Amino acid sequence: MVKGQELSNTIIINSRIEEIGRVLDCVKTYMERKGYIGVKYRRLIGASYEAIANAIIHGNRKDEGKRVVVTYLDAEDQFQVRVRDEGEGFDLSSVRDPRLPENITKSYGRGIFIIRKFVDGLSFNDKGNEITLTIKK
Amino acid sequence: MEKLEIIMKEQGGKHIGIIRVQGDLDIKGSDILLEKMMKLGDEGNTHILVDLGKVKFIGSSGLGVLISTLQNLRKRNGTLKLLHLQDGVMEKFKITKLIREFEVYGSEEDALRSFNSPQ
Repeated sequence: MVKGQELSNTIIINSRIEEIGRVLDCVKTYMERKGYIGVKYRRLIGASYEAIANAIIHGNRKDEGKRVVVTYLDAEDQFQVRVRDEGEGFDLSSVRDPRLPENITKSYGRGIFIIRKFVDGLSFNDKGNEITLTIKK
Repeated sequence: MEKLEIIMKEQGGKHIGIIRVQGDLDIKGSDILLEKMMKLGDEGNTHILVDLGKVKFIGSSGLGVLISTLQNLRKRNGTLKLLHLQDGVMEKFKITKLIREFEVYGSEEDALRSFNSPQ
């Protein structure tokens, strides 16, 4: 549970890559208005980019008829971004370490790893189609 | 991505394709960069220097495009080197350990001079 919830806002987009920037601009504008600046907020935006891109490409398989729901939640002690797609779900345990010699030269497989490194908390719902990114304030 | 410029220079008898990127290397930007690098490769240019001095954001797709191009160029006895990495971009190369795969330079002169040595 999020303690002392202050604000929650939801943005719904179609599964188009061009929409990612629009969503993140909304989140960035809110953060700037609240004075949330610095490395950890920049990292959260970077992680959110990867999460939304995964939702569009892997979750909804770029089906523009399917939606991605992005919710940002500003609470007393943390800031969360939740991204939900209409896909079959994702198994976090299937993610391989892209730093290993057998993976380092692959052109894919770094998105979840970057997310994990850039936030304080990362979780999925049971189905695996909603990811929650959390940073502590 | 706002802008992408390609300049050809000769160094040590090699043709070096310098690609200056301006703007985000997000999915769209990465696609554009990949297309340009492939075109350079198709034209026989196997030595590429990518200037990321005006890139503040690189996503996993951008990292993927750069490492896959480096791999392809290596197979043809070529290489891809990087120039002017901003802090946020450097951070991505470091946490993914891709920094170990690339030669990274802080000045164009040093980068170009490095092509003199045999690859």
